[in-house]
Amino acid sequence: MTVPAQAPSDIRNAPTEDFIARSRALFPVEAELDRMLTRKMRKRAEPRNPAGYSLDALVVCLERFLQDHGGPGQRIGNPRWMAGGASKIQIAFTLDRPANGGGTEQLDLVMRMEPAESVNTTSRLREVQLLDFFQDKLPVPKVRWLDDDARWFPEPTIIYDRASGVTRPTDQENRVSGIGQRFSPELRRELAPQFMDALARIHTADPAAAGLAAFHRPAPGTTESALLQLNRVRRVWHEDHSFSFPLFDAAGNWLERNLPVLDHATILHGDFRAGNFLFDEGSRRITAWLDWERGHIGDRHRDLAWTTTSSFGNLAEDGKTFLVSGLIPLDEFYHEYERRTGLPVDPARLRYYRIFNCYQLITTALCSAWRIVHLGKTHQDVLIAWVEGVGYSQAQELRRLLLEEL
Amino acid sequence: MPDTIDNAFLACQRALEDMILPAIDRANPLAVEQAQLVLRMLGLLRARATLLHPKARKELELNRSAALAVAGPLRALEPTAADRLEAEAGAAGHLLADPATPTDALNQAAAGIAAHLSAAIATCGPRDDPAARQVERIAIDSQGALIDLHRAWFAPTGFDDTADLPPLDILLAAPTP
Repeated sequence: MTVPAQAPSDIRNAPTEDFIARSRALFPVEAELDRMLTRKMRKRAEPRNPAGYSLDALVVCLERFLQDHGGPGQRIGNPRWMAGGASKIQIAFTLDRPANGGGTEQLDLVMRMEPAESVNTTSRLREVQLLDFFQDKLPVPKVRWLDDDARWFPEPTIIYDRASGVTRPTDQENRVSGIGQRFSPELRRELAPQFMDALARIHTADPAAAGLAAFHRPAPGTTESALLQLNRVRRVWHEDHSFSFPLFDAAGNWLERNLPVLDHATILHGDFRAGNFLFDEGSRRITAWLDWERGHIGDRHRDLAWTTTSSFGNLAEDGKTFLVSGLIPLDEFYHEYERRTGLPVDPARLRYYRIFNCYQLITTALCSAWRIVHLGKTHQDVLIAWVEGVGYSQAQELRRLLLEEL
Repeated sequence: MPDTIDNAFLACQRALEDMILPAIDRANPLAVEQAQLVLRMLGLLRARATLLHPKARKELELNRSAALAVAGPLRALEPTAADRLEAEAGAAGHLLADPATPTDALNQAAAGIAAHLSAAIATCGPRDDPAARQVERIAIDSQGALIDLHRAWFAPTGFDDTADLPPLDILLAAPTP
């Protein structure tokens, strides 16, 4: 859509404390997300500092961090950028250090950090809590360290074990962020049951268990869960937008009028799809579930609607059967989900969260992406600019869904 | 006179493809990925550069059409907002009638109409009134051609299934309802 020429005084480029306070009051969100979104806005007007996010500069940060955390005798080796994601800075490296039983051991590690401003503002603390929580339930990377308040790194940072495996068959075309990834029928037969098993394990885990202190547990029997999610997206739109989009406003009206009641609080991955798991091509086993940054406690239909988003899947060889995440036919996906979790799939709530997810993706792709590219906030602005087109396919889907409801 | 813009785009693409990409360290996947994306982005911009003005005209036409469609049912709820939309639509008509209207002016007018439409829709949200739902429905419906225009614009990025979508030049030439 048309972006009006930005006035030099555009408050969203340099928000005042008053603007931030009003935004927080207008759109109450979970405490931890409020902390991260507020931090984002307070840092927004800081001048660009790409040198501070260079590989060399970040390795210096790593060295300082490990001096303070890892003890003596450690050595960083082979630091290198990792590609594949659109929202975080990731550097792979090895760490040689004295082993407990004598000699040395080598760890294969990943440093995962927010850029100066991400297309998704999320919490590393929450990501660590989820990874720790699922350590004995799913293949997930083991977290070694967290710099939650960015004392050593420019932004909050996790250091965790680098998992082995690939996100896509190596003979397949690379898709940005793994969106619309294709798998052969043979690979689907092996990966689909593991995919469903992981989703069931996540959704049947107890959100009241210890270790998830950075998450708010919304009350079942109320609309709190859906309202917190709606407020989060509205707040991001309010803080990032550069253009008016009547469809988006009409969608917001509908979502607010139709907030669903939560029946059962569930831990959600938040971005459960192909591209966010690694697998071993030889054994065809899933080796790691990644990218938990959108994880929260809420309505399982939010995850279900997200995972079954049309642009995250593709058609099977017959040209007709839609494969969820390129792996499993849609009907089979729902059937397997209910069988494995014992939790029913409610079509009405699924429709609500389909609309909500379009609303979310439009905000990310057209609103936050534009702002951070405009201000030069990431190490891969050209990638962010490239994915803006996703917003219009989601807008078309949102319009279609809303016309069915109104 | 020669078309220097298109030539320059081509030169940039060839520089990237022939000289810069082969020189990038393959061990730096971010640099490789971004150089490839810059190449694709230049291709997209080259294909779209000559269409920026026709797109701005079409976008204003479609926004004007949306404003007029919404203003009627909105009048029963918010007469002042309906007046404002009709005034914006009238001003847009004058801009469109003048073939010399610059692209920026077309864009500003389209953004202005969209802002007024958004403000009008915001007033409908809390109303428990069939008329408010009618305004919302018409507003949502009116966005279809605009969204398709942008889908076609970004079609080369490959994120969208555009098999059902006419090509951009057809959409730009299509009559506005």
